[in-house]
Amino acid sequence: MNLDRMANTQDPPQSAASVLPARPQFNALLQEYSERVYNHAYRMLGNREDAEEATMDVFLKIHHGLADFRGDAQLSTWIWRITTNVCLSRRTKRREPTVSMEVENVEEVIADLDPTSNPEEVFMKEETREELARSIAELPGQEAAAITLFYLEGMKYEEIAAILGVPMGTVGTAVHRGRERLRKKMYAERVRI
Amino acid sequence: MKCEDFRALVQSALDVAVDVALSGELLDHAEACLSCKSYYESSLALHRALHRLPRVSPSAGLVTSLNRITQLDFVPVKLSWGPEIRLAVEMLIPVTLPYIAQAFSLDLLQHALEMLMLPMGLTLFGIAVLKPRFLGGPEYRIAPQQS
Repeated sequence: MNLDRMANTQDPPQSAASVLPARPQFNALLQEYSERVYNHAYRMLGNREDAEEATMDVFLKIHHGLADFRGDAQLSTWIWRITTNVCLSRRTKRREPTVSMEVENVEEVIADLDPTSNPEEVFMKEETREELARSIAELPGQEAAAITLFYLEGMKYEEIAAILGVPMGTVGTAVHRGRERLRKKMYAERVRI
Repeated sequence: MKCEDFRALVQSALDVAVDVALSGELLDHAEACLSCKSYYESSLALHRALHRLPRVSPSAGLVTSLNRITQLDFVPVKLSWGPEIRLAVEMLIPVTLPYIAQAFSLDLLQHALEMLMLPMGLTLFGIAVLKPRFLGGPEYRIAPQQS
């Protein structure tokens, strides 16, 4: 996002007093969350450019809303909810195809084709790890969000449920389905190679 | 043990631990069922790989831009309906022209204007007013802070 271009808009600036939160508080949030929010966005969106724009968008919303934050939820929950919603919104606009679950019984295919294969070896190569990271961005939105919060942020289902606004059981289903889609995609592609 | 029960138990175990070792009934089933053994091994490998995914660092440009947020004033677009309403009124003028013509009994002019202006005016009205509302657009504009 080009801040210089945005800063050159001719609109008259409004009074900052009503919308600006206390700067030390915002700066502290920036310190603590900027890299984490960026990583979350990167995993959910799959590329740096979108992740940077999403991160800017998230912190603009935090900056704008911090003064009105009433503490109904934990501050961290509020921040992650904004982050997830921004990323989901961007993904909806892109409308990219998601990872399908068409490949059934991939473990049987692996065993049949290469009985000596070690599943752990698949993820030894850096390119495979990068492919795995990209594949997260191709999961359906809720699954991508749940997988990212669970693995990247190490959150428990209860915290993820509060962020996504869904029951804990739904989070569990999303993580399981997301993991299964990733497993099938990663191993099916190895088998095809 | 059924295969589906085995797989559900493996998934549940992965929810609470990075490393999951099979034992007891689960181990017996995995030794008897190659498909479930493969499922367990590939699920565990993926689970570990997800835990180990490296974090990425934001670019210096992003860090600079983020730090500049506190130096900028916000003009929420939600509050600035003025220009859009003005534009919409300007675009509605051609739509109203046929009725003005009708008022002066200029039938030919009226029909011509109706055929051309009404759809064009409505289209432009839609683009100007509805698109930013429903198809997205920036939610904030940032203006330089006044010293």
